[in-house]
Amino acid sequence: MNSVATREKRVAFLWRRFKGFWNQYRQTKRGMVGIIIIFFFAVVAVFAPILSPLDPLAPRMEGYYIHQQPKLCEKLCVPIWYKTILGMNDLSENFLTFDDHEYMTADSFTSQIEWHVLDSGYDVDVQYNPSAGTHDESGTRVDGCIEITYTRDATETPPSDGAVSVVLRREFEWPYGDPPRSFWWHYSLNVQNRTSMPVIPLSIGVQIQRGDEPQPTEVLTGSKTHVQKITSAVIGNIWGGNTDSTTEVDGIEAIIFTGRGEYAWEFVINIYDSEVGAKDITVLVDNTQAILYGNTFGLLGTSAIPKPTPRDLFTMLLYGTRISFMIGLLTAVFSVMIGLFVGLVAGYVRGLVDEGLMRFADFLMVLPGLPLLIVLVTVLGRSIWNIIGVLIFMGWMGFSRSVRSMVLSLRERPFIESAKASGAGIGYIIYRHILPNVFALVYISLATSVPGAIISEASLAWLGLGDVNIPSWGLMLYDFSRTETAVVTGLGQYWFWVVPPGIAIALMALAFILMGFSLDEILNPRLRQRR
Amino acid sequence: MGLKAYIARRIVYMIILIFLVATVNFLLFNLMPGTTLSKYVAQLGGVAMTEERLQQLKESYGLDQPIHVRYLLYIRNMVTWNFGYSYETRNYVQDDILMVLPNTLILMGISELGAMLVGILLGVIAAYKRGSSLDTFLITTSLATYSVPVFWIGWLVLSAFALNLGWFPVGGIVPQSWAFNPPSSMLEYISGRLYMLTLPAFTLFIFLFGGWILLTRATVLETITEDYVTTARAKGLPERTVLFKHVLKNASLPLITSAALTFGFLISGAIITETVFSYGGMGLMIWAAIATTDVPVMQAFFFVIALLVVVANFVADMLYGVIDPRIKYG
Repeated sequence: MNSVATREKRVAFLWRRFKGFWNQYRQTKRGMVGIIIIFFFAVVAVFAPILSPLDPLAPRMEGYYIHQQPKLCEKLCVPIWYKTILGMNDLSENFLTFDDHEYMTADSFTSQIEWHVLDSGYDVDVQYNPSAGTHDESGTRVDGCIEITYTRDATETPPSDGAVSVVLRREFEWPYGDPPRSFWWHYSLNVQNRTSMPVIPLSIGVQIQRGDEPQPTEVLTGSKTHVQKITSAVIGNIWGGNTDSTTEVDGIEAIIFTGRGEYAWEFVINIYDSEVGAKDITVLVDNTQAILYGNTFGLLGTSAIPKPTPRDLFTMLLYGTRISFMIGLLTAVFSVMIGLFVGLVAGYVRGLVDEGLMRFADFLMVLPGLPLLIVLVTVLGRSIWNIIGVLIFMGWMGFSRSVRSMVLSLRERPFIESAKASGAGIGYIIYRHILPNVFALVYISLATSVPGAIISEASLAWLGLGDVNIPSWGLMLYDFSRTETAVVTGLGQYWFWVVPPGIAIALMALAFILMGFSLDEILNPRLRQRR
Repeated sequence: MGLKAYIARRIVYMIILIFLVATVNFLLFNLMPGTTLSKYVAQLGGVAMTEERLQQLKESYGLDQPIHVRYLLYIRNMVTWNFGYSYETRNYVQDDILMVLPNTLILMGISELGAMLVGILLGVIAAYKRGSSLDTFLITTSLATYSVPVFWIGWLVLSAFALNLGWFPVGGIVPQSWAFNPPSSMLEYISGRLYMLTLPAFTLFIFLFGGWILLTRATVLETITEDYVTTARAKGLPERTVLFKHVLKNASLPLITSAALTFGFLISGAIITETVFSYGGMGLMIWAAIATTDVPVMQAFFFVIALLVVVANFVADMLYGVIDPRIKYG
């Protein structure tokens, strides 16, 4: 009963003290600015995955992709609001032309108006097969596919041009003025060959056609310039089985795309047949997908590094908040704890222990900060935990000195003497009488240790000693410094890659500095006395 | 204790410190797993490494010796200023360092001098007008300079003045045209070097001057309330004389100590600034060494810079002893 009452009293006392402190703190304009900024960053750090659901380091397209997930965006895209705010209406965006792996939209393939089938006559038969399909990693999928069957009796003559062609054509409207930056597509083939030897060669080509041009029968002769054949692969010697293909092409987009309008993707499948003898082959075409990558993406554009999957800079910026908080707070908390411990022990125990600890601290303080960081991180390895560990190791000395000097003056005060006289042990005196009196310094030091740690991490990353597996602001800056664009164009064109992380680092560091400065004004006994 | 004994004591202390620094440097690179030789071997890349060849390498680098022998050898090398070959350039590291060190010192000297002049002046003004909006502005600006990474300042400066405006070169220590027609006169040489120095020095200056403002303001505030200042004012001395002769002179002691104590901070800033502007000093050297894990260079780099810091501390102690007549040596 008694203990409950005292505890209530203590809580009430602490609450009163906190309210008193808060009333003072509220008066400091700098302190309030600092707290507001920190609060803002804290919200961003907590809700980063909600604010941007993308992967910060290796973003890929979400969805059903059989072979390999395509990259999320082109490299060095500009922010998407360039279109609306800056009025650059021609800029293109990512465009999923079609994503058809089940052909579920209709019960019969030929009734689907999206797909146009053009074949060159002969005995080729194209239809929708709802109960067949090509494989994926988990096994066979039989959720529907396009089935091309070619049969010829031995008595019939082979086609005059040596091949039968089937064109699967998908028309689409390109809504942007600029051409796409690159193409990505995927298809799966399953070939069931029932002909006796020799093998029937098969080829598949992918092409894009401008819509207002003549029809594809001419296209197949390959003489028209308005059709750009993106790729063509002869898949020879396929007797049976599956082929999955994912292809990415860039550099020819401007030849095909002249602006907004009608375009068409075409899968051209050629079955070569010039010999005598019966032919019987079935080709299942499945999982056709095509993406056109635009030159805008996200709220802050994209980076050029790493090569295969450029990063969404906005997502990295959000996640960087977490990393910076982690580095700053962990370093601050642990280095302050060590400094507090060393300072208390050195100041209270004195003698040889004091001398030894303080000489050690002096020695560490003489060692130049950044060079020591460089050496230690090189020797230990570039993981974020090593960096934090080294920052903690190098961050406690100054604080331990101020704690020690405080303790030195405290231990001579009468209330310590009376505590000693009534038989209190060292641990009790330090915990109950000295610690509460140096705690003001702890708060100040906590706030002032954070910015140094954040900036040190960024500097290390800039020098190439950062952790490249952690989406930190330092990594964003380091990535930029590695590109040629950094050297050639400076910040101008790609400011969205460099300016936001720099401002974020500066803002967060500044917020903690402002907070520390205000705490110092209120709590520091030395400064308080002067008023 | 007299001045001489004081100096002698500081010298002994300095030598002990240097010895400790060298020892730490040795331990770091030798006792940690996966350093020196394995890094070197890794750097050779695809070259097949036989047991024999490894043994040869170990012998040629003295790594087959027991650790205490290696330690003594190492200390002897440090004392005789012998840092071995760079893995990358194959030059003697000490020669490389002596070539680039002056560049770094020039950069540091110029920016620190500028930062001190401007910072102390503004700091005195801030203290004199404490509480005013000018004071608030100066404090906030100084705090802001603390919070911005120096390489980022460098980028902004580089983009603005070198790439956009084209007033200054992007990087280097001497103008490119000197490759064809070297400077004819001393004046031309100096002006050319200064031209190349402008942007890095300006960057480092921005990085540094805020600290000086805050420090000066704090120390001046402490002395401005002293009795002798009131006396000086009462005598009718002009405010400027009071501020700079009576206040600042007495407040200058902590400033001098701080100049030495922040020497390591200054070097860190210089290292990073150099890498932004490809300014061929110690910073650019360590940058290249990090990329290739050039252990001898890193080892020497750390040793030389720690040496500089220790010496700077020593000089500060000496200055302190000479300037302040109140100091009790000991």
